[in-house]
Amino acid sequence: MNKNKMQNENRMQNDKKMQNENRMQNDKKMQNDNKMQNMNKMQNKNKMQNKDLGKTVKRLLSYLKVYRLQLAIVVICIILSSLASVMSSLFLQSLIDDYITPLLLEAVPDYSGLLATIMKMALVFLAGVLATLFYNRFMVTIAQGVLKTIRDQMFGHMQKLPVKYFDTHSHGDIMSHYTNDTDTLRQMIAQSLPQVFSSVVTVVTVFAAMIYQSIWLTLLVLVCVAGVMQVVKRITGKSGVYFVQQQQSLGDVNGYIEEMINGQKVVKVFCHEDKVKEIFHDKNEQLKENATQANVQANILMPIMGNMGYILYVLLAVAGGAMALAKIPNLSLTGMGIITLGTIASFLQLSRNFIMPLGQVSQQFASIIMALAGANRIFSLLD
Amino acid sequence: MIRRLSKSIRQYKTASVKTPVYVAIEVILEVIIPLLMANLIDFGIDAGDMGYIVKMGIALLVAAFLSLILGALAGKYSATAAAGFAANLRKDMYDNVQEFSFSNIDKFSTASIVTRLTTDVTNVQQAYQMIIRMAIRSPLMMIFSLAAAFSINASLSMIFLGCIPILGIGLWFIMQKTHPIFERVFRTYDKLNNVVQENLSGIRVVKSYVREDHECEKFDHVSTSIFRDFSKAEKRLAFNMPMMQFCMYACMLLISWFGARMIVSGGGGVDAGLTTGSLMSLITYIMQILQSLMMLSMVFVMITISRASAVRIVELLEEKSDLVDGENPVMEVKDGSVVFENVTFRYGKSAVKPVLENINMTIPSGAFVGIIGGTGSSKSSLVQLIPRLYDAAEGRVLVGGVDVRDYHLDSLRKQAAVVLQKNVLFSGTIRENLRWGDEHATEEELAHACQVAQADDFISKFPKGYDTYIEQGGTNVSGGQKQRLCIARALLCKPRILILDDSTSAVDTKTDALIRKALKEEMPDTTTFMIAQRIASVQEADLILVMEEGRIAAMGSHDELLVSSEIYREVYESQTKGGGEDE
Repeated sequence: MNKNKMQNENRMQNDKKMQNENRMQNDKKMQNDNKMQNMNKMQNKNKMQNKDLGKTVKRLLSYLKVYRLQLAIVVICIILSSLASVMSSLFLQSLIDDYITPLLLEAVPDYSGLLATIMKMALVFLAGVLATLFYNRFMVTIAQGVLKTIRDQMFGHMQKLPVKYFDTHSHGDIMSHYTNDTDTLRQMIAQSLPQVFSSVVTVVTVFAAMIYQSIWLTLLVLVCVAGVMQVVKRITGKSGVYFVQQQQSLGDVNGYIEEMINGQKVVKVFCHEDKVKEIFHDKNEQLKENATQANVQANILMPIMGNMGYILYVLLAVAGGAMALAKIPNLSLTGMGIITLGTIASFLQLSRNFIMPLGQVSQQFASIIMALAGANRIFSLLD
Repeated sequence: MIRRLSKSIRQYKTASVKTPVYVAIEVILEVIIPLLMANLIDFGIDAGDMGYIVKMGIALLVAAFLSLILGALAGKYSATAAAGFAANLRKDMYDNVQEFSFSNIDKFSTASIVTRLTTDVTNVQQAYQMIIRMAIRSPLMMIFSLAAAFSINASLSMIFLGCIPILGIGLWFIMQKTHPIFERVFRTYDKLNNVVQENLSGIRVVKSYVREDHECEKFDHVSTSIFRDFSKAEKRLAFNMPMMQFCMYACMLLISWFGARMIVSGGGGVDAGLTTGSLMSLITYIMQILQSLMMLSMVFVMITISRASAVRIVELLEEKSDLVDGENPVMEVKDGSVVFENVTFRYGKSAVKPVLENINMTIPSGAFVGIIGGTGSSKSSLVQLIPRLYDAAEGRVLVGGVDVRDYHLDSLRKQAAVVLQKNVLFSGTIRENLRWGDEHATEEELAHACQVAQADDFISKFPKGYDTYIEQGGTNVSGGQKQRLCIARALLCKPRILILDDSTSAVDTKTDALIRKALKEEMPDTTTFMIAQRIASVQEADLILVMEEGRIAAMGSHDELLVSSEIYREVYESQTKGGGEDE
């Protein structure tokens, strides 16, 4: 019953939209505006086409140009910071193989070598910590600076727009450029971008480290990761759909709230309270369904990635153990050798360091898409 | 506050309880997994026992799989609970707003009601999901991990303990330093919104007085202060990550150093207390403990941000309408007579200065009453008391011989229709908008109402006629067309009393006269109140009220007032001399 009603309503709304577009097309004065709106609609519907996405990214990058020097420092710092974290996994191998195991054989253990290595690591880690601090602070300045430029440009440009623009765009829409859209942009520049970059650097260095240690085990990791990514792709693929639906029904609910609360006095005068409640409940219910779906997808991603990591861990331990026992020659970049306990131990650590950043990247994906959509809306105001 | 909010959880209580339960089991599993891994390394790989490796491997796989399922379930239920809770909050707030009287709406302002229903709910939803997942997870994880670490090696675990207060104090210090700045940033954001909002609504004024530069300067000021404060706060927050890394690395090196010595001096045996495998697990536990501390700090940040939102939501939920139906309400308005008896009115209970003072008047049913007066003379306030949009502070308003407070509110308002000064059409077709007045109105009735309101002409010129789609806020029809549609909508209520609050200001004089003529001819029994700027609009009224500073300065017919009221005469003369200049 309810569903039917909703479908009908949807259909009616679509009809209305079409009528509306037709009417507007007749109006020559509004043609330009119409084109823009149509473009917006199409972008929303088609999840933004790749071409537009590329344009938006390019334009966004042009804002970053001013900060070329700072960005270069940030890139170096991120690389340093990621290297330090990869070194920490490698350190475990050297701790076990180069120190603990040989020291066990010595009658009077000499710890001076170990102490020197630990001191060396301390320096590496310190550099990593400082690099993390610097790039985080630099990114804050860059992100806030870009936002300020964009905000000021928007406001300045708004003063130059013809009055007609303000009649045809709801104030709520324009306001949201200054709040929601810039906010998602801030999150992307200050958080998502560095995180994605550092994840990529980590993945690359970890991969190099893995090959350095054992090619056989690396192949095993690659096969497993490919499997995991398949699962993740299916989930994020679906979550993308739910995400778009959530944003759409959120826009629908917010639009309805704005329109009806603005006309609340008229609603009261005509005693339409129950009517608007009914419509609101329907829309609210729809939003709840979509929000639940989108959030479920986002929430289950991390447990899946994390625990898949454990499963990979077990496979590695079994395979590595078998190789060590069977004395299968280990092929690595340093040549042939026998797989050691330290190799397996650090490989286990490395494999987790390999899979976690991949999870983080896929988690950031949704927020990057959202930010780009926001940036796109801002740019269309600027044009 | 929390109790009021938790009332809206309702059917999502089970999901809200299930989440932490699943999370708790997941945490236990996540703590067991490193222990299993330690065994795998020590007794399997190290000892070269393939059978043991496989056995432990299977145990690990089962644990990981269970933890995956539980984690996914917790994710699912937390999303369900949070999204459902948010939907209930929106519903409760929206329903309560529908009960609001005009003075409640005035108190909050529409913009603030909208933000509360949208942004604030989203904030609370995110915080709620975070709380039911993380607030349980992090402390549990810390306790279990610490316990597990201690069971492996108590003296090495002391290193963690030394680390936790350092990290805790650091986090506390950062939050202390950033929270006030963040609060300031949110206030500045309000200011930014205000500047933009004012600029948007006054864009015509800004343009006509060429004030763009001044506006940009004002905006730049706010924008710069957001830039400065936000950067400052975030730069301080940026210490969070490196501090956590520092602790993690320091623990790792210390544990490696002492651990290695311990293993070596113990001879590497299991009985010696520490093995290579357990060293690995210890390091895994450091990560887990530090990560949960990190999460906990994020939860605190979320809670502080959403607290402000929660307060605003509760305010809206707890607001009670000050207009209530009496017992045994009267359902029928007998006739259109209106009597004011010593009526004094003020907006809000605490306002000292009354808006209307000691008003007395008696209007017979079917009369046509014109009301004029300068801005701020409380013309609108006077008529808004008739359909009980507000309650009089003192005195009584009688409609059809009955005190308005004794009526069933809906019945009264259906029979005393108001066309508000700030009127709105909703997105939808013209027909849908008109049906607000009477949802069962026939086509003939719609057409008739539009003829009286002089809207029929322009509607039939639209290619789609009554099916023409009205944009949100009625932006695609002219001001005069909008006003005529609003009048037609009110006429469809077939009211005994019709109140037109400056409803023809954008209509040309000729059409204005046609509307008045049609009203008189078609609805002779309806008492009509017409607030107008132009004396021409009220000239032929049975009775004209001249308002001045909340009082009725003069009352009578046009001819009487020309003689008796100096104000009336002055206005009349200035308007007739000005001639066509007036719109």
